[in-house]
Parts: sequence; C-alpha cells; structure tokens
Amino acid sequence: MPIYQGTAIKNVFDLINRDNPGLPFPVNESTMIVGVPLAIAPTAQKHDTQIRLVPKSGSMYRGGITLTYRRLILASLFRECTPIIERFFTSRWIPVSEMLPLVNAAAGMNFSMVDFVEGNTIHGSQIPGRNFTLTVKPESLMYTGTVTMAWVMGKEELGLDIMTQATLAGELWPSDKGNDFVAWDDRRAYGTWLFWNKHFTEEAILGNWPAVAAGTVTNTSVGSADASSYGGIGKMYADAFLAQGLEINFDPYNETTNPKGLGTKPLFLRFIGLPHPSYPEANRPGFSYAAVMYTQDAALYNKFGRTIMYYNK
Amino acid sequence: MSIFIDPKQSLMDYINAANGVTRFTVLNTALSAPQPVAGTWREGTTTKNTFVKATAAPGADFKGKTYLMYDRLQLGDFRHFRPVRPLPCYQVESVHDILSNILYYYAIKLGPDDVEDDPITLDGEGNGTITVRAKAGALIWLGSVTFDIVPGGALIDDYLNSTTLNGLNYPVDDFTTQTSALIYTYGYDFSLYRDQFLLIDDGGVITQPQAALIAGALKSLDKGVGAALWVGVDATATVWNLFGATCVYNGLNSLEYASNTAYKYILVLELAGAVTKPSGRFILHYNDPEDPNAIT
Repeated sequence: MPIYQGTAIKNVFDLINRDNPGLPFPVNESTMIVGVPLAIAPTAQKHDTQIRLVPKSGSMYRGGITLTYRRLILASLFRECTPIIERFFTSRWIPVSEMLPLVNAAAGMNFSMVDFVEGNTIHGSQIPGRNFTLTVKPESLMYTGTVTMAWVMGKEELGLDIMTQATLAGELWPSDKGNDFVAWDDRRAYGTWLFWNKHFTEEAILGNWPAVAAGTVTNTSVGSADASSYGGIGKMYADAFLAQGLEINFDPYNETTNPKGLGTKPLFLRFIGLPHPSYPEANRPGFSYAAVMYTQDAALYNKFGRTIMYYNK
Repeated sequence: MSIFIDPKQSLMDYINAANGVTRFTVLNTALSAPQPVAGTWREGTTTKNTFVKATAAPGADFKGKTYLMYDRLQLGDFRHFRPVRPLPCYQVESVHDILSNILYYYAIKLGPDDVEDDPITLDGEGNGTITVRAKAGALIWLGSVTFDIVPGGALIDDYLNSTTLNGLNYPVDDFTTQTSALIYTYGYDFSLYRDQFLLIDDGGVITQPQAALIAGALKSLDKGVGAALWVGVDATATVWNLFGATCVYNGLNSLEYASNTAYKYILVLELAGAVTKPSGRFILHYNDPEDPNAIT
C-alpha cells in the first residue's frame, strides 16, 4: 500500500477526529469549511501550519476554531531520496498532472493536483542530471516546499504506449458479415476461395497488371465496358463463378440487359502489394501482389465478398 | 442596529442621538430600572410605553436627573422580519444557555439581565419547546417569544478541545535530520536479485555476502547521494552500511508492512543499531521474472 493515502483534506480531518474522539456531530468535509493554511513559525511540537475551521451553514455546529498541525515538508520527507520515474512519453516534456500518478506509484505518495502547481517537467535523458522539480501550492493542506526527482524516459510500454487496443477486430472470416453465421447459406460460395489454387502471374504479365509496393493500393474499376481491361480480368472473374456452376448468370459484357448479371454497379478492382495491413486475409506467403475484386452491389458483395487473385511479376 | 448590542449602550445611543451630542456614556449616566408608562400619570402625556430616570453619575461633568420616555420592544415581534424556524441548541438546560444561539441564528442580543433563566426540558432526541420571557427590569425588551428547539448549534470550540493536532507524521522519528529508509526504497525494483534474495532467512543477521549483494544492488539503483556511499562489509561505518543488518521478514508481500503492492515479494531489513542512516525499516521489493507463457 502507499505510504500516504487519502486526500490532503481527508487526512487533516482524520487528524482532527483522532485527537478529538467522541464529537457529538460529524466534523468532516461535508460539515466544515477549511480556511487557507497559514504558515507559522515552528512550535515546540514542530507545528508549522495554522488553519481556521468554520462550520458550514446547516452544520450542527456554529462558531469557529483555529487549529495547528504539521504539513509535510517535502525536502524533509525525501531527504537524500531521489525517486526515479521511468516512463516513456512522446515529448521531452510531461505535464505535472500526468507525472503525479507516476510519482505516486514510484514513491508511495498520494500527491494530487489539489496540492501541486501545474507545469511541465523536463525529460532527463540521463540520470543523475536533468531532474525535475515538483512545487507545492501554498494552499496545500498536506505539503509544503518542493521535491526533486529523476525522470528516465525508458522504452515504450506495450500495454500503455503501443498495444493500446486490447480488443482486436479479427480474426474474421473475409466478409463484411464477419463471423455472424446466422445467414450461413448466403456465403457458402464465397468468392475468396474461387482462385485460391490458381495464381495469375502469367495473366498479370500479359495483362500488364501493376507491381504495387508492399502495403500500397492502386484503385481502379472494371465496369462492363472495361471488362476486357488488364487482359480481361472482369471476364476471368465472371468465368470463375460460372465454372463453379453457380446459378447466378454473370454477364459483365451486357449487365444492363441481363437482370441476373452483376447489376448496373461496376466491379471494384484494387491491385495491392503484399503484405498489406488492410487485407490481412490476403497476406499469403509466396505472392507479392494480389488483385482484389468485389462488386458495389450490396447483395452480391454480401454473398461473395472480396475475390483475391494472387500473382507475382 | 440596537438589537445587536448591549441594551444599556443601545439606549445611550438613542439619548445622544435625540440630543445631538455624544457625551452621554454608560459610565457618566446612570439609568434606573425601566417603568411601564401604563397606569401612571404619564400615560396621557406620551405614546411611548416606558420611562426611565437618567441621573448624572458621580464625577460626571454635569449634574441632576431627568426622565426619558421610549418604547421597549416586544420580544416576539422580530418574527415579523424573520421566518419562524426551530432554534438549534445542544446540551442546554436553561434559557441563559441558549442566549448565544439566539444571537447566532436570530441576531438578537439578549443578556442574563434581559430574560428569565427558566429551565428547558428536552426529549431524548434533544427536541423541545421553550418560552423566553423578558424580565420586568429588562431595559429594552417586553413580553415573550416561544422557540422550538432542535439538536444542533453546538459551539465547535466547546467540543473540539484538542486544537494542537498530533500530525501529520513522517515515517521517521526526527524529520529534521533523518533519512527515511521506507521512502528511500519504495520505488526500487530488486527483481534482478530475486533468486539470491529468496535465500535470505527470516529473523537473523544477514551474512556478509548478502550484505555486500544488497549494498551493490542499492548502489546500482540509487541515483542520489546514497549511491556512492553504501557499504556492506564495513563493521565500523555508521551510515549507509548494511553490515549486521537483520532480516525481519522475507517472503510474500504483506499488508502488515507499508510496502509497494506492485511487487510479489518483500525483504524487510533493520540496519544494525549503530547505523543511523537511513532510518527505520527497509523494505526491498522484488518480483518473479516475467514468463511470456504465463497468463493470469
């Protein structure tokens, strides 16, 4: 557990109640107003602080009372101690408000911005060296003075800095329906599988398919009028479905007159360089490129999803 | 404002104001007990309800006497100005106990000379009713007023008697000179030394190799003044010296100690009696090595 716990004001009321047991009515934050602490010359008990306690309106008390106690002098508390805060941060400055939780974890304190002045702490890349100083607000009920600590930038932490998304989108079956198999029948002829066993290197060379850098995308489209582009890639796409004996009659050459064709929507065609972060299902050893095809027609897309045609050059 | 101050002074202020002077004071002018006008021959000569005799006090720079007519106030009439609310009081036995409550909550200053000291009876919850009656000789008050009493209104300095609080405290006996061992090691991670630390036995003086090991570990972790000063095998050094330290506890972290709960194990040490710095118990924290295959 931390060495100091609770808020400053709670600790002060704990002191009051510990030294004044059996009070007839509660004395706490809800019932009392605590005045701004006044620094006084240290007393015999080394008390250095005076506060005025005034009952809030509606309290069971009236009047007011002056109390003395010790605030913790940070220079004394951390005498010859230099807490080291090791934490990666994206800049060489870190606000005090973000530093305090780290200080609390490293030094067992209960520091909060109620007690400390906001500002930036400097990144000390080497220790000892460029340490940072925390300064207490004059109105702090618990602390006085300043304390110097060391901040080591350290490495990025997986969970805090890099892998900040604990929940991944996948693994997903390659469809916008994801892993929802309520509509199982709609996708048994899913298009991705159609070309899995065939590679299109020859067609790519002959059809001048682009060699896209890994991770990049070249967008194009293949409508009915362009079905012969890239060596007839649109026809290859349609023929592959027909070869499966699917009931849908693909007719990319005349889709406007054939109601069972691919519809009036064009095919979408993307040449991607592998591996590609947006198409994790396409990343496949042995291939550097893929042509990803799909239709803009929602019903057809839901049925066949993306079709991936692998090639090398 | 007269109802907020001493009645005698209040009446003196009115005498001065009526005569355009400031020379009359409670010291140089004596006032008799007030008398009701009703039933006296003055009844037909004034609309005021009270008269009083003012006499020059011995030593005054004037002499003689005179009679003054004025109005005393009905106690209950302030309720024309203030809403009727219960009067918070705590542990009161008679009317004179609640005079400061009446001043605090109703801004009416009544003194023991103004009202009768009738007893107050409260129920077990501290609730009750009391009629406050003006004394016959009250200088500016007449009649009575009844209050419902509820618990509250306790004078805080009657109950909060310890005003010199025993705290806040430091984790050392003398914060003006001592370095706290507890704070010194709170953030240090000794997991690298886990295997060696686990061999240290509870309850005994640590061996010299163990002292040297811990001193070396502290030197490597401390980036402050202690880094260069730690010794483990010096029988004479009185500061930063682990020679002769006793292992108070070594094992799983425990709520018994003000330890850092980010760690699984703690090693609690007490330095030898002659060693004065750092002060108090050391708690060295360490964990098992991270196992990439362990999922908890």
